Parts: sequence; structure tokens; C-alpha cells
Amino acid sequence: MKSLLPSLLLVLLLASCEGGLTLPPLIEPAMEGTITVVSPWPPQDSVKNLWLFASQIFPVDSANIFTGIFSGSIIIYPGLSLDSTLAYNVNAQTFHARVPPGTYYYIGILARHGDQFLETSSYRVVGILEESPGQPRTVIVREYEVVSGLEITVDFYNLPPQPF
Amino acid sequence: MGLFLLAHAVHAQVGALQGVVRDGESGDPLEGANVIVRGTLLGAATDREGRFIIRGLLPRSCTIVVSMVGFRPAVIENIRATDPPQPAVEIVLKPTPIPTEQIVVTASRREQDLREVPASLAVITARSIADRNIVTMDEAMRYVPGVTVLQDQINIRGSSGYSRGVGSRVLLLLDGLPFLTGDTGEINWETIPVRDVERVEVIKGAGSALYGSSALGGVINVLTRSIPERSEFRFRLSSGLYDRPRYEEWNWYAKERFQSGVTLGYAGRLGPAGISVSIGRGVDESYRENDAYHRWTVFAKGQVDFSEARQLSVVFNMLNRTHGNFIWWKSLRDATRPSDIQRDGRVRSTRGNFSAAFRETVSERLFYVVKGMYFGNFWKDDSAGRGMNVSTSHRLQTDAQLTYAVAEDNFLTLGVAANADDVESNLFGTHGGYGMAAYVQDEWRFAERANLTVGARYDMQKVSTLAGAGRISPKIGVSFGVSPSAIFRASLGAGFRYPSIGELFVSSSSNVSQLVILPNPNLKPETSLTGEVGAWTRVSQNVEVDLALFWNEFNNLIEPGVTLKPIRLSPSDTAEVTRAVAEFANITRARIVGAEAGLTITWVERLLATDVGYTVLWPEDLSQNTILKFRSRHTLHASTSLTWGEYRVSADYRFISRVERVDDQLITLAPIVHGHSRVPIHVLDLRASAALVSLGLPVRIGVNVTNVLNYHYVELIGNLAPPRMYSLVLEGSL
Repeated sequence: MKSLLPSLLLVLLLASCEGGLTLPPLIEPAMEGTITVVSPWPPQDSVKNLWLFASQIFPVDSANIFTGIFSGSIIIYPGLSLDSTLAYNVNAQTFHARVPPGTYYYIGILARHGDQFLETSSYRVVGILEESPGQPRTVIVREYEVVSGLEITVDFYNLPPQPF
Repeated sequence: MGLFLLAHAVHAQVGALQGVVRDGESGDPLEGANVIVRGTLLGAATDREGRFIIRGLLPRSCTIVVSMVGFRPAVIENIRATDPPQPAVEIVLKPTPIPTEQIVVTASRREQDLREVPASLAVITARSIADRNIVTMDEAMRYVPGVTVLQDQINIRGSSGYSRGVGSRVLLLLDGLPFLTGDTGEINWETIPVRDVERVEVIKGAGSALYGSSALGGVINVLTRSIPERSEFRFRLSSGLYDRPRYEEWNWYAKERFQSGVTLGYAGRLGPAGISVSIGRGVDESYRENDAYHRWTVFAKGQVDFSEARQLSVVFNMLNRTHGNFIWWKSLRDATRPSDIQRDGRVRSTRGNFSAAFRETVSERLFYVVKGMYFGNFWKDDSAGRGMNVSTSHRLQTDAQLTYAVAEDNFLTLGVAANADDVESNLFGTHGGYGMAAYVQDEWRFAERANLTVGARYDMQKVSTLAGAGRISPKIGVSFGVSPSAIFRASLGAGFRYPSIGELFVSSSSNVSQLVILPNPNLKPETSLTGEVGAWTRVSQNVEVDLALFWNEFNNLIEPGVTLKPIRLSPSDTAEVTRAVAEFANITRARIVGAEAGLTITWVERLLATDVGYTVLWPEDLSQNTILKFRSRHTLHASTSLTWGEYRVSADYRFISRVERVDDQLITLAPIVHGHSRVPIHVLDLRASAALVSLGLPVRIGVNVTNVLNYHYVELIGNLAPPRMYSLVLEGSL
């Protein structure tokens, strides 16, 4: 009987261990959060589009923004077209942007107010994801992971530092 | 076996004693039993006929201790040393399936009874290394209670976290000399000649008072085989097959994956000279992509016995290896594939040492040993076209030790040591360094079965242009036997570790970890203070218990920290960019308190032996008031074996509780996808072996199944441990 004791203990231990690590669910990498507008909205005809952007390039300037967008280093949400835009006149809206895995050094809201869409002067950054006032926060998105809880504040009358 | 070749006195009046050691059950003579004469520095090993003779003794009545793995030690009192020696005394050892080693050398730099050591000490025997089909020595460490291994970084009683092996807090010795690489100060397990190891002694707790830098958490002394008395040709063939992991997503390979090895060796003597040579080839296709290795090993040991009291031994040992550069997985969904940047990387390394030791036993009360070693390391890492990292390091070490029995109950050990390093690397720069040390230790038997040990060592280290640093590491220990079957012990000792050249000067903006690594030449040495109280008792003929309570205080622990930081990628850059940056820093003050319990039981007429070791830790990061990173609170090791004549069946089980805290920043910034995925570890190994001597074949055949449960776990974040493996071993000697 005494010799059975360690065997019994072993069986009990092993019964509690199942198979160890399991396969995690297949999740498309994304970032999600809330965009909050804290200022009055400008007239609708002065905001032709509103996009969320997430850039793996930093600093962004007029020389690299378009190549960044077309190479996939800068992601535009909800879509890279003049027909897509975030909702106008909604003070708090959520987003779920699928993005490739990577390190995003500069995330924010881009507004187009001019008609020349290939001119950087037609665009303004109206809010950024901040680490500290005026300082962009870096977000790392990994495979199979959604980074949640990102809070971006927009103030149309108190803009963050502009990249161009 | 053949631990000693002592015993030749220079005194005019000398005596000798002789005997024959036999197996208590079969009556057969025992070859390789150790015999030491208490109160002296003399001893011997039995020959093929079980005979021994110890010369150089003063004529008087002596007490001898006879021990051998697999047998209970015997203490024989009142044996007369005379000239000429009296007829051989017959000594009978009772077999025990408990593979205990009673004579150890690491704790005091001299042969002594394990039970006299005032610290916790574990012994790994050559037999257990062979039985478990150990390929590299880190695998053997996983079976030692209180020891965990994170990938290849050893952690004794929680002393180490994880720093990719750099800056080991456990000092590895090869035949008593430090065996850490000159550039990164790490243990390279593959360089240890596993097939030529006689035994390994593991001291748990600080050991800097005798061995200097790096011995904060413990000391591992790998002792290579002595040259056997008779010539032999040895061979060992092994082949293992990896089982498939449980999930199809992890089955990246079409063909089965094997791990195979062959070792051939010869040992022989010609008069006073002997040589042992072995060559090995190992190939592991691995269960992970870009993780395979191919390696060659060469080991040669020569020994010249100028007389019974003077012996010179030289060792040449070399490893040549090519292996993949799997750092961490792509994700847990692709746990057997490395991240994309690591997929094509290769590391090629050539490492080797040449050492020599001369020992002379001047009298029964005095011996000295002079040792020297050159340890060279070269590696290059051509990781996925991201540039090539290359490092060449040379380390020279010497140690001269003198041990003198001041009286029958008082042993004094003195010594000096020196080392010199030279490193040339694009990662670490070009740097040199040197160190010098002096040590002293006195062991005093102040009562029957009671020993007091007091010692200290002074070390000075200087690296490159940095200021030199000196340190004194004292220790005190006591063992007190209240009866032959109950011994208490207590010790207090200091440890320190001087930062390696790698930690001080590493600098890289292009490596497979994707982190920018910055140097920190301002690092200060780590220090520790270890206290332990323990007791060993033989409760009955079949039950032994060992208990220990320990306490460690660490200061200035060097840890790699990872942060996002604006940096200039090159000195010519004017603009800063934000990057994930890693650098070593003195950031942690820590306290580790714990307890360890060991139980050894023999059952069923001693056919069955069971060993259980349990360790619990409270590892506190006092700087951040939280648990230390990469430590497990609970570890449990259980082994049981059934020995029936030439047949043996055994099982090993180990449980390691889930690591509670890891480096979140490393996981986020490296990044390591699913890097937080970890579970408690349960590993069960089974094996069976048979010696085919009765069939007229000088061969032992063994079958091993490791990780029988095919349990999937990580020891280190982002690294899936091996799945179940079936292996076959064939070994023998002619």
C-alpha cells in the first residue's frame, strides 16, 4: 500500500495538467478605441473627409506621406477613398481598424478641407493619440492581437503639431 | 572512479594500509570505489580486483571511509597503517538502488564526505547522464531539485532571471576552473564533454568565497573521467524521434524529425601514462523550423603519473557547431516557426579549451594543485541578411591551491588565481580584461561529527579602460552530526558577479531580436549574501530526509531592460527616431527566501528507489515591491527506479509552477506574439535499460520516452518546449 502512494500522487498531479498550451483563436490584428470630439464641429462643407490614420513612419512629412500610404506603412481608416469618412457631427464614435502587425509611432485623425486631394495643404491633423500633450504615443500591434482602448481626442480649434 | 591518486609520503617513517572492497550481495570485487583516510588528505580508488593500498601515512590507527555509487558508504575504524602494511582488510559495501555519491570535491576544493558539507549539494552521476540520454548538460540540470533551466540559462533556487544567457549567476567549473565564455560570461552547455563526464556537483547558494565572480546563485563543477586502469574502446549510438505536436498548425514538417548522435572513444594506459580520446557527432533536425544543429565534438585527456604522489593531467576539448537561430516563435499559432526575421539565420561556432593540472601530494598532510586553462570562443551569426555578428574571445585562467592538514581535525586551504580576457567583436567591441584573486579556507572538526568552515576570497577585476573593482567574499559554515544518521548544517556566504564584457559594451542596431541594444559601461558588480540552515537524517534503513531553509539577499542585480526611447541610429544622424531599446542596468534589489525538502525511499527489498525534491520560493523584487521576473514559486522533482539485476526501469516527473511575472516590455516591444502564453510545467519521462552482459555482449541498450504526456509548455517565453520523443541508446565498451 505504501508503494502505491507516490503513484497515486502522480496520477492526481497528471490528471490536473491536461495538455498544456492550447492553440489561440485566429484573430485579425487591429486597433480599436474611441474618437471623442471635444470642440464644436466646424461647418460640414469645411470638413470633406475625416480619416483615422496609423503610421509606422515618424516623423511624417509632405515628402513621405503619400509613399507611406501607398506602401502600406500608413493605414487609413475607414478606407483609402474620397467616399469614405468617419461620421460627421458625432461627438464620440468607436473604431475597429484592421492593421498589419507593426509598430505605429503616429496615430491620429486627419481632416481634408481642401479640394486638391494630392496637396498636403488640403489636410490637417485634428487629433492624435497622445503619450503626453502634443507627444504621439507608440502602439505595437502583433499578429493575432487587437489593441484596444485607444482614446483619441479631437479639438478642431486647438490642433496638435502639424506634420506638414 | 579513480578520484584519487594520492599517497606518497616524503617522511622517513611511513606506513601504509591496504584492503579489498567487495559487493555485499554478490561478493564480487568492486572496481572504482573511493577510499579516504579521515584526518588526512590521502585516499585511493580500488582496482579491478577491488584492491587498494594507501601509502604515505604516519604509522598509527586510522579511520577510512569507503564509498561507491550504488552502495551505502562504510566507515571502518582502527585500521593500522604500518610498514610493511598489514594483510588486506576486507570491506563489504551493501548495495542500494539510491545512486548516491558520498565523496565530493567542490565545497572545499578537496575530497570530503558529502555529509560534512555545510551547504546543499547535489550530485549528478555519469550513470544518470547516460540513462537519461542526456545530449547537453543543461538537460541533466533539469532533474536537480531546486534548479530550473530557462532555455539554456540555469537558475538555482531562483537566483537567475532571463537575459539570453548573458552574465550567468551560476558559476560553471570544468575540473575546478571557471568555464564561462570570455565575451558574454555565459555557460555554453554544448561545450561540456557530456560523454566524458565522471560526475557533476551542484552547490546551491553563493560560492564566491572559494570561486570568485559569478558564483552568486551556485556553483556547478563538471568533473571529467579519470583514465581507467585497463584499456577500453567505448561506443555510444543514440537516435531519437520527435513525436508530432497536438495541433496541425504546429506540424510544419513533412518528414519525421530525428535527433541522433554517435560517440566513439578509446582509453588506455602505457606504464605511468594514460590517454582517453573521444570524438562525437550529433545532429538534431529539431521539431522547430530553423532550429536544427550539426556538431562535432572532440575530447582528449592525458595523464602522467610521475609517481604515486605526482600527477599531471591535460585536457583538450573542442566543439564545432552550426545551428539555426530560433529566438522565439512567430506566434503561438505558429509555435514551431520562428518570427520571419529569424527564419534564415545561422550561427556557426567553434569553441574549445586546453587545460593542464599538476597535483602533488607532498605528505599525508599536504598537497598542492596548479591548474591553467585556455578557453577560446568564436562564433558568427549571419542572421537573415541583417549583417553578420562576429565575436572572438580568449580567456586564460590559472589557479594554484595548497591544502594542508594542520592537524587531524584541521584543514587549511590557500590559493591564488588569475585570469585574462581578450574580446574582439562587432557587437561588444575590442576589449581586454584581467583579474586576480587570493583565497583561504579553514575547516576545523571541533567535536566528533562537527565541523566549522571559515573562509574568504579577495577578487580584483579590471576590464578595458574602466576602473578596477575589488571585493572580499567571506563565508562561514558549520555541520553538526547529533548522531551518524542525523546531521545539521548552517552556512552564510557572500557572492558577487562582475559584469561581463558583453553586458558592459554590447551595442547593436541590427540583430534578430529587432531591438536596438545599447552599452552601459557604468554597470556595478552584483552582490549577494546567502544563508542556509538544513538537516539530513536517515529516518530508517530505507528512508532519508533532507530539509533546508535558505535566504538570499541580492543587490545591484543586472537585468536587461527594454523601453521605447528616442535615439540616434548612428553618430552622424542629426534626427532622433523612437525605437525599442534594450540595455543592461543595475536595477534590482531582491530577496529570495525559500525551503527545500528532499525524500529518498527504498522499497520492496531495495529493488525500488524513489527520490522526491520540493522547493518553494518567495522571490521578491524589493525595488518594485513585486515578484521577480522569470521565477517559479514551486518546483517538484520525483524520480523512481526499479532495478532488477541487469534490468532497470525508471521514471522522472517534474512540476514547475507557472512563472508569475515575465518581461512585459520585451514581449510588447520585441515583439513576441502571444509572449504571455505560459502554463505550469508537467513533464514525465520513462525509460528502460538492460545490460546484455549475460548474453555475452558488452552492451547496454536503453529505451527512453521523454515528455510522455506530450505536454505543451514553454520554459522561456515564445519558445515551445520539445514534444514527446522516443529514443534508443546503445552503448558499451570493449
